Parts: sequence; structure tokens; C-alpha cells
Amino acid sequence: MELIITQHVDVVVATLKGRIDAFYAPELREKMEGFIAQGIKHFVLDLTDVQFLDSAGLAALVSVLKRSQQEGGGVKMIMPRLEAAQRILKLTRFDKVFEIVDNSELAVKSF
Amino acid sequence: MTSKSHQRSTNTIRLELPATLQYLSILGACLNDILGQVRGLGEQEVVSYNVQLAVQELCTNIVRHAYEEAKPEERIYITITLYVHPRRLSVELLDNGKFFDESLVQEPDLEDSQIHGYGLFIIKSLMDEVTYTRQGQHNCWYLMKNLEEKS
Repeated sequence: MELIITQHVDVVVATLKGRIDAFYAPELREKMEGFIAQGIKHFVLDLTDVQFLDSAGLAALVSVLKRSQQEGGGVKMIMPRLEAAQRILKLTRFDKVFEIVDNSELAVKSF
Repeated sequence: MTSKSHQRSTNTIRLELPATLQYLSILGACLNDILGQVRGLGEQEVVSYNVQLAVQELCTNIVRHAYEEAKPEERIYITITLYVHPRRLSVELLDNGKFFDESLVQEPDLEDSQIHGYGLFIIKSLMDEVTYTRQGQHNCWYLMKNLEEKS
């Protein structure tokens, strides 16, 4: 997993690449919790280049959503380019749970 | 192993992984390479991804629940077999962990996002056959995916 963070005032864009699975999910969750602890409550999760996403990875993403909502914020998501990964998000209906956006610039401005 | 292992096959590969999460990518790469050798497979990328995901979900469950994430010295024994007639891939997984009680597993509520409980749902959704048996001190899982030709 590769995680690239870009901060735009009070919005964090987390660009994720590679595998988001049971092995890497705790690291992702810990890093995002760190931002919430710093007072950040708006996130854009860019999954464009995610190559593999399992249920533990999905759980880490939902955890970010729930925690940000608890703080009065929210999460917007850019879907993976890989069709197979998109299908898993649809199978589990997580595409309905997150607000799906096309690009991070518009997503940042929309908060 | 079950008798299903002894049917005529083109390739059988056996792996023995430590019961930790860090080597799961090796298993995924292995499945991807095997399925990459299947000629004329419809939606190859999606099928390969789905099989990798189902098997990884099961291995994660074994590490977390059967071995309770506390026994990295234990092993998961995996047999991957590619059959010719009818064309299909089977993956058998054997572990020495705790008994799996399916009656304790709740179906995820897809209308109300939750953090846990999607593993078995994903496995059953993506594979054509999923069976579990307890044999002595072993948990035995059999997953099968039909490999249809491109239409």
C-alpha cells in the first residue's frame, strides 16, 4: 500500500495505491485516526490506483467515514479505475455509502 | 484432503503459508499467475481478482478466527488445482485452528453499512461452490470457480 497525503486547509486528500487489505488496513486506519485527532474532519479518498481491496480494507474506509461523521465532517470517494475492484464496492453497496466523486479538486472545493 | 483432489487435473500447486496476514499477497500472485495461463477465459481480470479476493478473505478469517491471530507458527495448507473437464479452479484450504461455527456468522445488512461481517458474504458471492467440513482437528474448506470460455 502506498498512501500519499495532500492537505488543503481543513480537507485531507488521501491517495491510495496498491493493495488495501487486511495486512495494511490497520496502518491506514491509524494514519487517518491521526488526522481526526488533529481536528481534520473532511476527507477525500482517492482509490483510482488501488489494485486490490478486501473486506478489511473496506472496513478501514468505512471507519474513516463513521469517525469523520461523528465529528460533523464527511468523506468523498473516487472509485478505483480497476473494474473488478469497482464491482466489489457495488456488491457490498459501499458505492451507495460514500459520496462518489470524479476528481479530488472538485471534491475538495465541495466541502 | 478430500477426494476432489484426486480427479484428473492439469495442474496442482501446493502452498504452505504461515498463519499471518503478511504473506497473503504471495497467494494472490500465485492465483493470478495460474489463471493467467488459462486460455480464452472470459473476463480474465475480473475472474482472477474475484478468486484472489475470495481466497484471501478465507485466509484472513483463518488467521483471525481459527488461529485467533496468535499462532504465527501455525500453517495454512493450500492446494490449488486447475481442472480440464469441466474447466474450473478449485482451492482447498486446511488449518488446525478452532472449529468454524457458521450459525454464529450473521449476514451483513447491505442497507446499513457496517465495519465487519463481509468476509463470508464476499466468498460465497464470488465463488461457485463453497463448502466447509471439520475433519478431526482440521478445518477443511473447498472453494470452486467455474472457468467459462469467452463467448
